[in-house]
Amino acid sequence: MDEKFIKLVSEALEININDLQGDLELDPEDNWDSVSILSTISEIDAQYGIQLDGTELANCRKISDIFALIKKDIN
Amino acid sequence: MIEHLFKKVCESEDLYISIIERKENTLSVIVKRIYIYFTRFNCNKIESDRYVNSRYYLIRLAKRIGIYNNFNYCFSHAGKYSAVLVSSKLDHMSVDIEPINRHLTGSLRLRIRELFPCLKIPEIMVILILESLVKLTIFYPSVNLSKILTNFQAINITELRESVFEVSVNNVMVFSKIYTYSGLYICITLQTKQFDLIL
Repeated sequence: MDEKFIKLVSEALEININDLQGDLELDPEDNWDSVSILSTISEIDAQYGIQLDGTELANCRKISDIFALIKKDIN
Repeated sequence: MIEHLFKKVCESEDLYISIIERKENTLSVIVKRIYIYFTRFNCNKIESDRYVNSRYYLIRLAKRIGIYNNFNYCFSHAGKYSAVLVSSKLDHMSVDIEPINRHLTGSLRLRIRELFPCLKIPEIMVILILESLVKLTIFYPSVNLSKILTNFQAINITELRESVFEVSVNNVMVFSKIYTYSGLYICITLQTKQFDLIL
């Protein structure tokens, strides 16, 4: 996961960038609610020019899963 | 569990809203989980404390207002708060809550402004309306937030009067009202614009 992605997640999930060293778990009842998902969709669109599907994103359970979706789309 | 609000939203439709704060200890959740196990709410979500607490409250509420045998409901959760709409008459109703100070990224705010340039309300209010539409089953195809953001689904929102909005999706019209209560925005969406509730 690159620095640009970590900054994006930090912004979208309102988490201090220093707390994002590992592979953060995404909890639909906590840090991964619908607004967080919308924020992530719009940030990924703005930063990478990729329009991810909300359902696929909602199924992510770790931030590495989000990064994998981005990489899949880029490739 | 603390009930912060319990009021009637619409007199003619027997529609109520509640706001609760979930504060539970482990033992209490276990007892409620067992209770829920023997109700129609027993499903794979029963492992979730939030699910158990909110459904337990809903059952008690439906019994309290005398509609337990036949009622519809809609939930929304934000942090430690849950909102529930409950009615014995209405099928199509939805609620969404968010903290007033909920952070949105700059790109999301910009996208909302681009999509709804005529709306002079905070972006989080637009998101509340959109989120409430997702929970309604009267639209075909159903409302998909990521498709709205990426321009694949068109939605028209018009402010009728302060905090009341007319929303059109594929020529189906609904009405949303946004309330402010105790640090939360509460958006209720119905097929009627009769919002009797005043907060």
